[in-house]
Amino acid sequence: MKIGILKILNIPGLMLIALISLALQGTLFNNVSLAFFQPDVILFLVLWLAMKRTFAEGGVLTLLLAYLVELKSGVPQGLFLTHYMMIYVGTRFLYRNFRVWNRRSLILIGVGAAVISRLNILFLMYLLNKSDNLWFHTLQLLAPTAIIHGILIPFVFRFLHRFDFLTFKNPEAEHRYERDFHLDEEMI
Amino acid sequence: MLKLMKQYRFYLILLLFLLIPLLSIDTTNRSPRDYRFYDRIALAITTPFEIAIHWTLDTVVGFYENYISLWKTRKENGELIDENRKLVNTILNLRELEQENLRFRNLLQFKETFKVDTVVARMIAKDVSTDFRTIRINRGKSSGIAPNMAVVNAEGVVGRVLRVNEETSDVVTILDPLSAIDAYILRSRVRGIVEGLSDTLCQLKFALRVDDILPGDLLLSSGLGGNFPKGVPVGTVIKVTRKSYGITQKVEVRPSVDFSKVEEVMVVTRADAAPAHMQLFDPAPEASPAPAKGPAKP
Repeated sequence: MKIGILKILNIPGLMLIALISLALQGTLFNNVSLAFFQPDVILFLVLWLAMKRTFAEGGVLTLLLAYLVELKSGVPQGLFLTHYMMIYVGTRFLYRNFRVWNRRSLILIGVGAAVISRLNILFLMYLLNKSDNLWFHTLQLLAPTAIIHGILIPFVFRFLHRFDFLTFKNPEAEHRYERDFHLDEEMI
Repeated sequence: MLKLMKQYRFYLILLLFLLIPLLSIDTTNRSPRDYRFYDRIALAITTPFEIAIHWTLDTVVGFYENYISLWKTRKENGELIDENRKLVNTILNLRELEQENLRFRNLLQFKETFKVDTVVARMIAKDVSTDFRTIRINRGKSSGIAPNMAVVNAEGVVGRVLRVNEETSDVVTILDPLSAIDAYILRSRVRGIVEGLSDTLCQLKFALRVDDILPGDLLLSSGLGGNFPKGVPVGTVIKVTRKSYGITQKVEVRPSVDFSKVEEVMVVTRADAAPAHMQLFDPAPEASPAPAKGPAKP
């Protein structure tokens, strides 16, 4: 029962995390110099979904997250939907085919995703014929955002791992809970 | 059929995931895209969070500035310092009030000078993306705000309203790469389109290579389109690059508005074509023989 409720709360919880992150992005980084260090939390979430969820579930959640970002940004309609879905599908493909899992590879994923994300937005804007004024800005922010994403990704992923563990989305959590439950029964 | 669908389930889902964003992408120009009903539902859920977080941050910062920083001093110096703390608090509050008063007075002066109907709004959030530069203000449809209305402050043009909700609106600032405002150089009357370039700069586009533009020239809104009053400061030319070929020149413009310090703005709900403001920035003889003193510093 408890497991079921917590499992159901996982997705709304994830959405709440996204909302709080977006609100913080929209308020805390309201400064030109801070913009250099503004992490894209939704990018972290999309990477997490690509690695830890089923294809359909992760994809639907990615679309929802992208929609939330579009709601809070002045981007042309559909840009972030396309962008995050490309990141999601690309990450999923890479993760399934080149699985390397240690801290260093995680940092590499963070840095790579940040760079690809910026270039992808530029590419999509180019396709929409609206990239003229974005080149300079993209180049300016490419390195700082890559660094900040590389630094933050282990912490964000640890937090998300903990979150999934608490809401029993992680299969290991369920096994551990059941094991503890059986141990308690044996003690009784 | 069902068996076939099961067999190719992955590819069908993949196709769906790629099709949904591609179908929703907006290939038209940045026309004001109003909120749809599901946008409004999502906003109704998310806006209270945004306001609550903003309020919490303000409270924490205010608490830190007004109390914690003085706490140690109070401990060391007793009652006198405590009294001093109260006085300092009062002075700070008064200074803040004075600054606010000044800002509102400037806004009022602007409103009177340009003979426009305006709604004063406070900025509550900025764009979550670092590539785009819209801001959110705390006034919406209920205050009479509609898409495409001009947004200004005492320093000059801030941007225009992109879309409105009941209580909030999104404003595309002139720094946004997709923003475009028709403007002219005060000295030489050269016209062009001001577009966003970076977090602090804009550029004047479509100015011919032979046009007379110099660093330091003041750019004013042309008033074309009827949304912006004519003659509102847009920015100052800081760099002009002319190549020996081509038909246009590259002109970088620093906006009149310091966007890092924007707190209150005015949404122009009705722009009057009254000539009063023309006398301020237009030294053209037919407009006015003796230019009057303007509210904003060129």
